[in-house]
Amino acid sequence: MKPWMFAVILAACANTTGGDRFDFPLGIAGPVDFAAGQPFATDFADEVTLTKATVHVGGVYLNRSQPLSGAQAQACVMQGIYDAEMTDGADIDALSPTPQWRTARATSGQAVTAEVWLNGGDVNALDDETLVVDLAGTASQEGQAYPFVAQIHIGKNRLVPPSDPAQPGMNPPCKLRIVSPIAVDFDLAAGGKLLVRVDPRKWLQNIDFHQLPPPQGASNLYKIADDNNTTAGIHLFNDVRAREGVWTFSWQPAGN
Amino acid sequence: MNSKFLRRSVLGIAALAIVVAASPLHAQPLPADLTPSALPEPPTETGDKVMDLTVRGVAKAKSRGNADFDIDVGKLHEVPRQNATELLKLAPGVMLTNEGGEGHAEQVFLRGFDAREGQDIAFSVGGVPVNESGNLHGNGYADLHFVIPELVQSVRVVEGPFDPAQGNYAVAGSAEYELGLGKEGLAAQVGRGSFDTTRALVLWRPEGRSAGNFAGAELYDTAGFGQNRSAQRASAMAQIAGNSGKAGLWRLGASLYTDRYHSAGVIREDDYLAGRKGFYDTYDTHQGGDVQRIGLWASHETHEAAFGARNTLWFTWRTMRTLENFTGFLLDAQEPTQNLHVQRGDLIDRNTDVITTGLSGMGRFRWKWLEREQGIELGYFARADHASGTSYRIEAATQAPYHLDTDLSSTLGDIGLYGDLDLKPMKWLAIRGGARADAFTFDVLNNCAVQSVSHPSKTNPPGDASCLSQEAFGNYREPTQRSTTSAMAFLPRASLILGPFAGTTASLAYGQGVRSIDPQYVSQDVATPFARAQSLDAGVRFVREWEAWKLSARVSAFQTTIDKDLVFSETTGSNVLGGGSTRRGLLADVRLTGKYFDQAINATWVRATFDATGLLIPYIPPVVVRSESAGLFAFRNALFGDAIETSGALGLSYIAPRPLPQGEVGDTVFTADMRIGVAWRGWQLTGSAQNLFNSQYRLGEYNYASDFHSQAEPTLVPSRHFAAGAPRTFMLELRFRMGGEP
Repeated sequence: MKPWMFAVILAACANTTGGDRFDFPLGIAGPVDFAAGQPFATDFADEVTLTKATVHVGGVYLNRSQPLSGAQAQACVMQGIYDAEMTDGADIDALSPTPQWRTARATSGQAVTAEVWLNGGDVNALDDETLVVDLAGTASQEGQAYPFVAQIHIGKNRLVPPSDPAQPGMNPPCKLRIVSPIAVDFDLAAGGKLLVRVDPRKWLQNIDFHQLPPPQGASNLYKIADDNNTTAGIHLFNDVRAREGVWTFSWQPAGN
Repeated sequence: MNSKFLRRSVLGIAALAIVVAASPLHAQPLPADLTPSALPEPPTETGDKVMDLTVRGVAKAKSRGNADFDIDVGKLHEVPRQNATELLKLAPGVMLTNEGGEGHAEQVFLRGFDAREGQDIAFSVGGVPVNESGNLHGNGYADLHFVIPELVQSVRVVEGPFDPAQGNYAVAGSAEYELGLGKEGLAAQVGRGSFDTTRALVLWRPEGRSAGNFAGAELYDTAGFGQNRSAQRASAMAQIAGNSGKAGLWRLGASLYTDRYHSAGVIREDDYLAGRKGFYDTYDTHQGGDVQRIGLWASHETHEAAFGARNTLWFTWRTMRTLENFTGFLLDAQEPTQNLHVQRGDLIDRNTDVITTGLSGMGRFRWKWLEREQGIELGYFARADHASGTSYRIEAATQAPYHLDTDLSSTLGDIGLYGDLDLKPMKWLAIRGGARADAFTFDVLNNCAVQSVSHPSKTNPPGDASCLSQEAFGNYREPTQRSTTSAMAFLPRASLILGPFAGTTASLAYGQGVRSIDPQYVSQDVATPFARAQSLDAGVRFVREWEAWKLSARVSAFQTTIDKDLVFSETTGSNVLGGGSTRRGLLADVRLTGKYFDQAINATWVRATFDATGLLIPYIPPVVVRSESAGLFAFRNALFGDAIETSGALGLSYIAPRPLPQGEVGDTVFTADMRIGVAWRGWQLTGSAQNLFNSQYRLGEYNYASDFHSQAEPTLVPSRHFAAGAPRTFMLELRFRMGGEP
């Protein structure tokens, strides 16, 4: 090929349509300043220690836009362009600061919204048997010890009946399984990596252990119900899915 | 369409061909040398030689300069082609793709335009417009598969809106197919090839009649390469032409066409690379479509020394169905009024019925001034389209429609007038052009105008219904909404042609073109229901003829802007209106023709960008190169007695990597197609190979979000997709011809 032909082709390719595709490592872990057995206080408990805190993350997504209102707020999949995704589910030990790494795909650009999907099956399915959260520990509240366990599944047990019979789809199950929108602000570029940390301490901030029903049978463990029928069960579920404080995203550009 | 309909259609087509072939032609024979391709041509671009000759035939249009390619297919008919659309490759800058299957119209890229399936190119066959106004798949959709390639005698491609006769959709340009059969007699051909492909063809031209008298019928059946690409089609075309009065010619024609096909659609690149899908696989075996088309046309044309006129009347009925799935399971968002559901599938089932009636004509006056022939042409164009279309979403699990996206009934009118001057103030100067005015009218009835309601009735909830009969707070309203509007477009066009000087002619052309708006976008009294393009072309052409050779070479620079470009949307499976855009480029084209060979090569470079951002327009190939070669050689052998003719043809295409959305860049495409043949007496045996080197190329490339359930969680980030190009395909064909000159 003649040099001028190369020049013509290069000139044609000098510009782009915007963006750039690449893969990057995405790690998910517990807080860096926290570990199993390390006590912490909540709004109700004087001291809580966790011996187990796992969370199943189905996927992680980043989007270039924020949901505005109306239909966009309703939809589980946002209208804007998703610029990164991790679709390989992982069970994360939230008591370990060591990330579990996955490969994620991205197109370069700014990310302003993050989503964490807490599902194992179809995110729109009515039911899902996946164990999303498995929690165990001991809380001390006003001098009384509360050894406790909690599990969360997000299936029919968490469905919210519609308040308006004319809108049977107003509370779709996918909205229960997607933590969104989580505000982020960074520029995705090739060579970087993303670290997602989940803080299980925040999950228990609003649990009033005094209100937990007493242990049943031979067990001495207090159990936070896996449904919407108890205050503790609702608080734990909502705080696992809190858009602020629980899930933090940090982008490390290439070279950092 | 069911197989019963197909059988009936095939029988009908065969019957039509037999009737036309068997009917005594009352037409008076035309001298063979007055066929369209053999009409006397002016010796130069400026045509300053006055011919006092009464010519009976189809008038050739005056050249509009370097962007005007009047292509006599000639020996290049030998180059293997899948269909008549591929003849467009003889014009520079054309790239064709097809993600929709054998019966789906080709997507045309021309001079930096993604003209989709004709939305930005005005197609006509035998003077009859092909673009369908109001087609839901794309306003201006033009499917040329009904044209039997062997019946195409010439193609005129004008790469820009430079001729006042060019009407709606001539944004990137226009392509006019002229029909005719070069050889007299009856020819029967049968071919058998790769992937269980069978093609049978019958062609007939009465002896002593002009090329405009013909009948042809084609049957085609293939299992298709890879998965889900089978197709069956049948087509018949017939035309009779005769003399009328002293210098008149009339033509009467009909065509029938039916097609049923499956389509593989697109494959995600990551699924292919991970081995989850093969290169020629499919995600959804329900993709495909059906087409039926009936066309009737009649024309009368007269050419006397000072006056010429032509009138054409046509009727076209066409119905088509396409089933396409670009995104898998992504678009079925839960609406509050709907019952809870999962993603049910994004297969689009789109149906369109279009009836078009129209007439066009012109009168051309010639006079002498400054001892040179001058001319003026006044023309008219009128068409009415009634289109009805629906677009459903199909549930993957049950194949039942679950949502009606669109239901439109449109009546569209387009009446245009033009004036076209042809002045030659000097021997070396021609000024051609004038202006065109088109009036567009739109009457669109949206049968599904209300698809959501903010505060639905609690006593009569809409549920899963697609078309609602209520508005906010449950107040009743009819689900329909009619919108009407109209507008006038004034389109100046002019060409300046200088020369020839030692065989060299320079030209400069300017023109404006329009594309009427898709009825989906019509709202009541919208101000300008069309997109306007402005085009500029400047170039030089060299033509020289020797006794046995003819050389034609040209180079051009061009620029076109459009205020409302079309950009492919995977969510609708069609193009949607975008912002303004500009493309600038260069092209070169050379054709060398001899008695025994024909060589054409062209190359185009273009840079197409959005005006608002300066970013490249996705999918537009920056460089397209095409070479076509054909050669004939005859020799005598004592053993066989009569001469044995051998032929060979080669077509080469190069397409530079295309820019894709999100900064992606497509792959290079290079394909080679070859045919060799031998003919003896009335027999001809040919063997062809398309994609000779069996390159695994991506015919269509895209970058968007889809979710075909190939990974554990939905894939929402834009990803590379491709529609696979055909692998190496062999075809062996045997033709026998009776009658006519050997």
